[in-house]
Amino acid sequence: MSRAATVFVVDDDDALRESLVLMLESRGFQVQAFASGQAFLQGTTADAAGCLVLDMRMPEMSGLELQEAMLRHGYQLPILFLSAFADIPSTVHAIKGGAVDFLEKPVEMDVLIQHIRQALAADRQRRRQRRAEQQIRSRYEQLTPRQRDVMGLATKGLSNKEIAEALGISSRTVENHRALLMERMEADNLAVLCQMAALCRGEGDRAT
Amino acid sequence: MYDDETHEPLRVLSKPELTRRLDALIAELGDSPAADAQRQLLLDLQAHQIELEMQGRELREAQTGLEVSRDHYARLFDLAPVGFVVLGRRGLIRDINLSGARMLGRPRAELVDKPFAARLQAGDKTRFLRHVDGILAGDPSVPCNDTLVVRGIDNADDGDYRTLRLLSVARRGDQGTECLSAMIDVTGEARAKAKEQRSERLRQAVLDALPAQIAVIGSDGRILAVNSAWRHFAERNAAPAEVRDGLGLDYLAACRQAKGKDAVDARLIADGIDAVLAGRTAQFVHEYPCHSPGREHWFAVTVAPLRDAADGAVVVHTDISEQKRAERDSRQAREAVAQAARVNAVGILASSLVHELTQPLTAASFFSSTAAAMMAVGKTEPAELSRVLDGVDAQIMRATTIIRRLRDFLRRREMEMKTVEIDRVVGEALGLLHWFATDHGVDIKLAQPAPGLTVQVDPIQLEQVLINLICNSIVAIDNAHEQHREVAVAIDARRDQIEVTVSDSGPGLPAESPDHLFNIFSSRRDAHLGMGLAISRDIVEAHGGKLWAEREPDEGAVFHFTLPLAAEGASA
Repeated sequence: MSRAATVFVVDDDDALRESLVLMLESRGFQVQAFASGQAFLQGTTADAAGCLVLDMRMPEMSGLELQEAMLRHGYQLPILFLSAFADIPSTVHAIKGGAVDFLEKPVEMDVLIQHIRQALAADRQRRRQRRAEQQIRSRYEQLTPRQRDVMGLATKGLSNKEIAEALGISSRTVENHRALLMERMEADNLAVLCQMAALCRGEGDRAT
Repeated sequence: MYDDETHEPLRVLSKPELTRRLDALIAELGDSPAADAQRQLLLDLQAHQIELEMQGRELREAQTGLEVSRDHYARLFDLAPVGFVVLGRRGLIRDINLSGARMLGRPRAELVDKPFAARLQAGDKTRFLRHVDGILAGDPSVPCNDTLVVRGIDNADDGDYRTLRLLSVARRGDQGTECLSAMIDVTGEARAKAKEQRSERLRQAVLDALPAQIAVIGSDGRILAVNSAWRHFAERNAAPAEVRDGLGLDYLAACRQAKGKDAVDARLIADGIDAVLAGRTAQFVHEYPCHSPGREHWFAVTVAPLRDAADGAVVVHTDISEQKRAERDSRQAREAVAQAARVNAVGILASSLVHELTQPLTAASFFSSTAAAMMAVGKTEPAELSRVLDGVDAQIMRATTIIRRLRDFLRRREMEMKTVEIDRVVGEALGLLHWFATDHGVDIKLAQPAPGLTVQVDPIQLEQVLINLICNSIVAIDNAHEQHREVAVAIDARRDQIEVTVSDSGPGLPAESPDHLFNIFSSRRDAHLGMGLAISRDIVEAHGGKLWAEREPDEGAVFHFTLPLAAEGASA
């Protein structure tokens, strides 16, 4: 873990912000607080780790507006919305935007802490996943073009013989490529390799 | 020569000729010799004859003069504007002049030797006879020079009555003692007096017929007259006799000396009467309570000068209890409607208010949770802990303020006028509206704060007017999805009043007459707005101000209302 997970707090209400920071710090969380959406965007980067506790109603930039801005800037922080009233349109809008959670004020302390922990765990999980994916992709990058071809056809369910025919090479050569690429990709079996291929294809698609 | 002359009768000669002849005779008598006695006797006789003629002439002239003079005085007697009558025993008329006869309405000839009393009204005859007999008998109890008003002498001409005054003296005449009376016609005077008495009675009757309690007081503050309502009221209240009848009572002093619960009002009334009597004010009006056990009463006293303040003043106490009760009923009805409107307004603001209330409660729970967590891990430095607990305290105070503000706003209550700073009231209203505006993305700008400016108002009702106007603006801006979202509140001090302006960047009022907006029975879709405006206008007018919508403002809707400034020097 290169960076400590931080609970970010954005609330324009000084007392609420200060008390929330104190409360979270007293429970051992690392907290960083901002009085407005703009201050948050200026004070953080898109790869921030942790979660964001965000007040729905604020002057200038509302919680939902900040969420949109974060998506635009590539933030992937899970957001825990706080609002006085869970009015339906806001909720629907927030969920479409990928919010992970939604709590009503006044919130029970244990519930809030539990949800923050869940958000942090999800973020941790997400980042671990992402790191694994990045490793798979970098391994994929290191394959030769022939190995990538074999991997592509093999994960489509073609037999070695069929691959050999398709590529105009001998079955024996296909087997050699296959064994080598399984080793390089650190895939134990074909099923795992298939998952990896899907990930790398997706990445490839996005790149185009 | 002598012989010639003797043939002429003496009586045809002129007076100078007679004198000349007499002188000639005396000269001739002196010249004639003493021995001629016969001649001298003749001359003497002739001279004597001339002298007799001259004396006779003088006597005749004197008689003529006397006759002229007598006639002159007789005419004076008859035609004098004063009537003269000479009365004998039992009031028999011995003589009367023409003026007197005219006063009695009969020719003189019909009156002489007739009883004077025959011409009198029955009721006055005895009094007349006693007067005449008293004069004739020299009765000391009847003054010789007596003044007696004899009413009711029948006048044949117009059948009306005359009033005569007799001034009588006794005198000795050729038929013994008689009574000479001068008669003066005082009919006009008597009629004027009777008229005055009638008008006085009429005035009193009118005063008595009026339901208000009325007293007329002189310039010295003493009571000149009261009406029966005044007396009845005094009787009902078991007032001392001198107050009940009132006449001569120094009302001003009585007011000044009043004791007990009425003393303050009584003193105010005394000052008012003073001001009217001194001509400092044209009229004084004061309302005061006068509750009897079991029933509430109010009176209004009005003091107005008589024709001129120096003549005194009229003090009128009017029972205005019915009016007061009606006013109270209508005020209570208005208050009930205003109360309902406040509840309605809070309903509109509810979600914003819940949010506002949630903030401090949430913060407080965070602070206290922090304290608990600190204790759990043994972090118990007093300075640290008290900082956190101060946070709890401050947030609970914040919540309390919101609840207090809301409770004040919603409390069912009677209109209560206070001297308050206008900024404070505006601050309270904006406090309740803050989150509502934020939620709707509308800025509220207090354009011109007016520090220290005080008004005499019911603060809650004024707050209600502001909330209503601003709330309407916010909703209008939001419904119209305006880009520019702002409500401005401005306060301007005028000479004796303030003007509050609430303007917004909304779509403006409908084109129809702005007055239609204030119609509580408007069937428009936004009738609740009309209801709120009608109540707001009602409230402002109950404060002595006006509320109106500006016609065709440059932007949005603009409402103005005025309130009278509190009296100088008063403060909350």
